[in-house]
Amino acid sequence: MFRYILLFIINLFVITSIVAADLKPVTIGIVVPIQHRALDEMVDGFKKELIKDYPNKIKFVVQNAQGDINLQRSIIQKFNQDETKLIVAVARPAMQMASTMVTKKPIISLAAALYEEQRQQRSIKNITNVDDESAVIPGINFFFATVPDLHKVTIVHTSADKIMSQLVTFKKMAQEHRIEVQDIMIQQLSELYSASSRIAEDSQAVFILKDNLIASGINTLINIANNRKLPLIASDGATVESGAAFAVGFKEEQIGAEGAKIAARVLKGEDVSTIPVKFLDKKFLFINKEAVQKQNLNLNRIIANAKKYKYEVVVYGVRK
Amino acid sequence: MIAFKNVNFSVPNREQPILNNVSFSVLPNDFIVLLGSNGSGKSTLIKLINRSYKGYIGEIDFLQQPLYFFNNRQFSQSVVTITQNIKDNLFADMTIAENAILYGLRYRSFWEQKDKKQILQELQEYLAKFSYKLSENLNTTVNLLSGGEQQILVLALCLRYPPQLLLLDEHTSALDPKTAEYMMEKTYHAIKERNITCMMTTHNLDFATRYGNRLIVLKDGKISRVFDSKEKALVTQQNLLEICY
Amino acid sequence: MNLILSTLQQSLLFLPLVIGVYISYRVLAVVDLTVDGTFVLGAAVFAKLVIVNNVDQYVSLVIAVIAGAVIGVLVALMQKGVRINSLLASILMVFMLYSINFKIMDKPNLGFLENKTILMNLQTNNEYLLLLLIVGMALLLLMIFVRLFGSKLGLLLRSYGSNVKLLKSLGKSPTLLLSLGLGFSNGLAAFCGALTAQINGYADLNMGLGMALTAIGAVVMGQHLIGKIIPNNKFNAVLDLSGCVVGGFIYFLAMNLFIHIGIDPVYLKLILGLILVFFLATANYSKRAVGYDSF
Repeated sequence: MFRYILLFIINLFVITSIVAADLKPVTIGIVVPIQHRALDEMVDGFKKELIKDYPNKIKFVVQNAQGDINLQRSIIQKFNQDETKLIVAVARPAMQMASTMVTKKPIISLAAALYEEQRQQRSIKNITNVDDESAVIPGINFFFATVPDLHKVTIVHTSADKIMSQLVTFKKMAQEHRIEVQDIMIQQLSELYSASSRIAEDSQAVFILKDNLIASGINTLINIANNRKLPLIASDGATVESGAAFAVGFKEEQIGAEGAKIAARVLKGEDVSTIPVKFLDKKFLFINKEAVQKQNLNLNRIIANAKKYKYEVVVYGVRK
Repeated sequence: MIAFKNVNFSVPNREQPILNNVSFSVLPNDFIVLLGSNGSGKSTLIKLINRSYKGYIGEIDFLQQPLYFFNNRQFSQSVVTITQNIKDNLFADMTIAENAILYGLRYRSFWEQKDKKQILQELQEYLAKFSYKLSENLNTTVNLLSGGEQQILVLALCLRYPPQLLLLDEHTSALDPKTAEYMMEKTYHAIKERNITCMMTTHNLDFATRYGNRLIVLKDGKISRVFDSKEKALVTQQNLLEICY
Repeated sequence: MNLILSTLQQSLLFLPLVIGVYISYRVLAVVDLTVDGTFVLGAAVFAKLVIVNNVDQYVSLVIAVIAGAVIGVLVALMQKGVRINSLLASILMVFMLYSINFKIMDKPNLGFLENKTILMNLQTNNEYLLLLLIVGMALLLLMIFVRLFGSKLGLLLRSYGSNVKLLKSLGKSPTLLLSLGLGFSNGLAAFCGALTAQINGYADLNMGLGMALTAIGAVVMGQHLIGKIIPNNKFNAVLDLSGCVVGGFIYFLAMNLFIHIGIDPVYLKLILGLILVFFLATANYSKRAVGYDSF
């Protein structure tokens, strides 16, 4: 009799501990380098999707380094040392630091310009990336195809790494279309106003890449665009919502969601180094009706082109 | 040693020149007392001599050469000024010993004794001649000393490697009467011992009568009276009060 | 590695910068914010030489330090030769360095993809050895500077901060001393930048933002704390340099603690700033030693 009771108690312990281990939440550490709405949307998309894809309890720890590299290092150090199972690095600065400091935990980076060849070159490969740059070339093509009779355009950009390489692509494509490019580069937000007043008289449109710094000061450019009836074309949805005419791009939540799908696979046991860099394919065309009107563009033509390229259209209406 | 010839000095803000056609000479071993009311130009005169102020009209000669003939290094060894702002001449947050070392750094004789112990011992003996308290507290920070002790220290440091000319710009004005007296005595003995030429400005008429071999009175930028040694020996405080102020 | 050890690593890595700022802020009593720029310069030169030009990492480190020192000398000349106010001169230099650093790196961000450098190697393979190396570096630095401040040169540098006019009238050249001091200061900042770039894995144009202020905060906090524990009115190199170590340690400890507890990093800067205000308000920040008349 006594033996059966002992056995029962032992079984109870074993089952409880198994269940408890299962019940114990898995901690995901998300490090965001700066305060920015687009990055927040990526994180939201990630969280929502991961809850769907991974059945066990998840604890999300999201920490923002506020642009301070010491802080960023401390955050990543903590994730590296505590019970965090998986680290999500949002955007390039976080990705770079995480991949240097963290060698024994899996890292998933979002929108970080980590390319497959680079990943292969590393000796320690515990990182993979969700790439968001594949909309750049289509976006530029769409721009050239949609705004009629372009001879000269202006591109306003910062000196961020990703941007500089995309700039080269832009110039090359413009050359192929025989379009002259006016290149305006700013390094700080305060230069945006004087930069916008330098836009050439004969420029027919202003183009911006997915540039965080410019996005934070976009109102300056929007005012100029509306006043001069100059089309302002962007590369991400938030900027269109603020007042750019249109943009071809991805939804930030989407980037996060794809990252979450990879995260779920890693949590279920897959080795992150075997998962290749994910390229998003579903592109969206974001349109701002009011801006299109103010900047003298033809709304129907834009939508027709979007249908041609099979982009899902997202319309932002008149803002109050 | 010094010759002023028709020296004029003005500043842009004031219509009246601060010094107006001033001419006099200072001979080696003179101890000249300079008197005058505030604004008479005494300090300015001193500052022209020690090259703090530039841009005078006329001639100032030092050791028979134009004042600006000498480079900074030579000049700073030849002409030393002690003012009533005691802190100006000291490194207030450093110790007495450190101040002495800094003062001595440019003299080869100082560095010939490499031994630190020897340097400190010599310093101690030297300072004892001026003030017992100073020599006993070589490692005290200067700003913990009283004003009087600090000024005595300044005197000791400035005269250790004797300059040619010592300029005293109301250097006892900030001191209490007893300390001022002590300071004046020490100053006098030090310059006599080392044959230093001296020019002193003061408001202390007692000192003016007791010290110095010549007296110059300045009024409104001009020299109003000059007393040579004989005349000066006879003058009293009362006389001076009437003449200068 | 636990909280204390990581804090130790971070703060000792930061130590060269703190000592550099100590030299300019406390010893020379000059406000020199140039380190924001020279920190990045050190990282940029080091990264460019090692990654792009394949120069030996130790040679690159030396060149990076020299670059920083040269900038320091230039700032000194701006102050003395052209008579620009110290704060202005340093800010102008940071401004100019932004373009210079960009030109050096050719991109806003240079990453070390492979473990080309010794620090990166250790970080990946043996974290304890890395910490040991950093501690060794810090101790070496401390020994060098304790020697320096006890020497004649140290005396002269301190006298610059004490009474420049007197120094000039004693026949010394303030320009020379300022150049030397700022040269050391910015050379140290460049050294710190080069090491930090290795640990972070990249050199970034904007990595220097706020470094000067953080370092000044660390210096002030450290001096204040040491002054409370071991009151002393004479200059003591060991105490002052310990203050540098302590100040840096406290800053990073606070930062790591807050993150550990879970305080939103948004508030971190506010809290740290308030702590610094407290220290600056109660510290004697014009001249170093405490005396009768310095309250």
